[in-house]
Amino acid sequence: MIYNTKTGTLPLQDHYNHCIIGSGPAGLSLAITLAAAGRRVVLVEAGDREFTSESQIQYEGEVLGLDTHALDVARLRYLGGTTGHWTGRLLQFDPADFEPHDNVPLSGWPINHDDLSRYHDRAARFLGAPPFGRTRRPADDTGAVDIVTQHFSSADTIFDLRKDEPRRLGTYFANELERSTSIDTLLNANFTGFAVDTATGRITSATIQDYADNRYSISADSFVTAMGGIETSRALLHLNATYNDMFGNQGDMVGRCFMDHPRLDLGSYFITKRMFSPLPYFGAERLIHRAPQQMVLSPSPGHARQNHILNAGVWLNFPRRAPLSQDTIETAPFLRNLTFDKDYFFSGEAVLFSEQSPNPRSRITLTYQYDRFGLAKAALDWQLLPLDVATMRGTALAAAQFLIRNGLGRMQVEPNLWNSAPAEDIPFFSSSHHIGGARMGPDPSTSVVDENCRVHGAQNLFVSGAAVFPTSGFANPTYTLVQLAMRLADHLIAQPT
Amino acid sequence: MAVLSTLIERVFRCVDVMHNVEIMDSGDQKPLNRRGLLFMAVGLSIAVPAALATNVMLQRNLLPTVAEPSAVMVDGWVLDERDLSQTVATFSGE
Repeated sequence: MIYNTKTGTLPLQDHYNHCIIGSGPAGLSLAITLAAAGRRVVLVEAGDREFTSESQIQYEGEVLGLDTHALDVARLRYLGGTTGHWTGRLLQFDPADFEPHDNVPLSGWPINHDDLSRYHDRAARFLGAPPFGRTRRPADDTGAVDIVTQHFSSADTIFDLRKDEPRRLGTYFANELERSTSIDTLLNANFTGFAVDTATGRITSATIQDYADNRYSISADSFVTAMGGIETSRALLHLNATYNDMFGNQGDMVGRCFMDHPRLDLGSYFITKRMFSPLPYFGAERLIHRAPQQMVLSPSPGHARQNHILNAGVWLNFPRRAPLSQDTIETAPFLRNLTFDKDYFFSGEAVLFSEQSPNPRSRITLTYQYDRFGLAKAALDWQLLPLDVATMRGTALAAAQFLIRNGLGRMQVEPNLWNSAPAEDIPFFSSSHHIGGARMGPDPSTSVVDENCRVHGAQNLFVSGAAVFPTSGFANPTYTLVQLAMRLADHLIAQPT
Repeated sequence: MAVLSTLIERVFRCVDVMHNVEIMDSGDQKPLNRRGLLFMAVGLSIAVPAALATNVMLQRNLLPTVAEPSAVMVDGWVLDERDLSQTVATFSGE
């Protein structure tokens, strides 16, 4: 059932199996999976069914470091969470993303690609995607660049769900939550803190507060924060401020290693049809739809290691069967003599998405400003390292050289990136992928949660979401965080109640 | 492939139309069926070479392959040095 604190008192049960705070993709997928296994779940959502300013304003915070979207703009605080902003892009992490890199401190996951791949179909189904596969294969004999593609069983969905309306999880699952006898969904229920048995490190209850300042206490066997990278860090920082850093902050790591995917518009590109000819799937796709598939050019793992860069990809976005615009041609004299056979060339805009290295100085902290519930607001200090800029430059250069080497096309590269200008002169911007802050690892001195997403030092407190990612890859995080949520659900189901 | 599929579709459509005419005429179907098969054979003999020729055309290099590109940036574009001197001959495919 869905209960709204705005329209009545909450008929809370005395005790639940699981209390999940946050109804975005991480919380919803976890709640629904646990309920399907017969668990009693309470799902706590701070906002309403739809957007309200009263709730959204609670997301205000400070941006201290690199310029990024305001904290109350980049996220959404209502049922379904930030899937209200979601573009629907599903991407899988590379197997190499889980491995440690010699030149990257704090890299490597305590789990590997295979640990998540068993949740592949379930995660896709939950997110409304047909089954899909992924390939990464060498683009030419040099082995420097791979072509990364994804192919869906449905001919209507190419690479992502944006051809249809991306699935807004709150809207999509509202009826299921309304009918559910296993999930109590609480709306306009603002999480304000945990009660703790300090002798055992056990969370005994979560406190929530409504907009009429009524307070409720929720008792459960386990508690999961699924509030997104920034709010999860904020909640854990508050908890540790009260309980002497005993919850995942033994190494002062809560809020640290915040990562985003720096995104950079590289400019225009054109490619020839030969780009698609070695790939049989593209041939069939083009025959059916008369439009080419998007593809990503990414440095191969070997090339990346050899050149000391991270993972990244250049999206050849939405290739169109059209010559370059006249405006673009006018900017480049060499293009004026190019014979653009309209049945031979595709053109479009190239966009680079890059991995960011885990950097303890890139972090979420608490400010001295407070929200209406008396909790300190969050501050985001997003920082990049020279390695991150080198990754963007190395990836763009590798992609451009691949096109030249094989006679497949040409592309533009942001001139400041090409000229190795300082990071502040490169016009990259945030993808609003809030990753890290509660990183996963075996060692409490360098991580916040263990391989099962349990907070170090806590018996029954877990984190679900991209906050636990130790490294960011360059794939959009939604798909992977749903895989992780389903893995966490299996872990919780295996625990005695 | 697109050209091939279009041609095959047209051949089948013609055969289908002729077959319908045959039924309406309700005469001896043998000569017309033979005519349909002949038509299809002629169609395929045109379509297959056309598809192959199209494929060859699509595979041709309008842009040069460069074993070791010496990348330079010109007006925001990453080019090989030879792009600058061979522009017309190279890109026009002549």
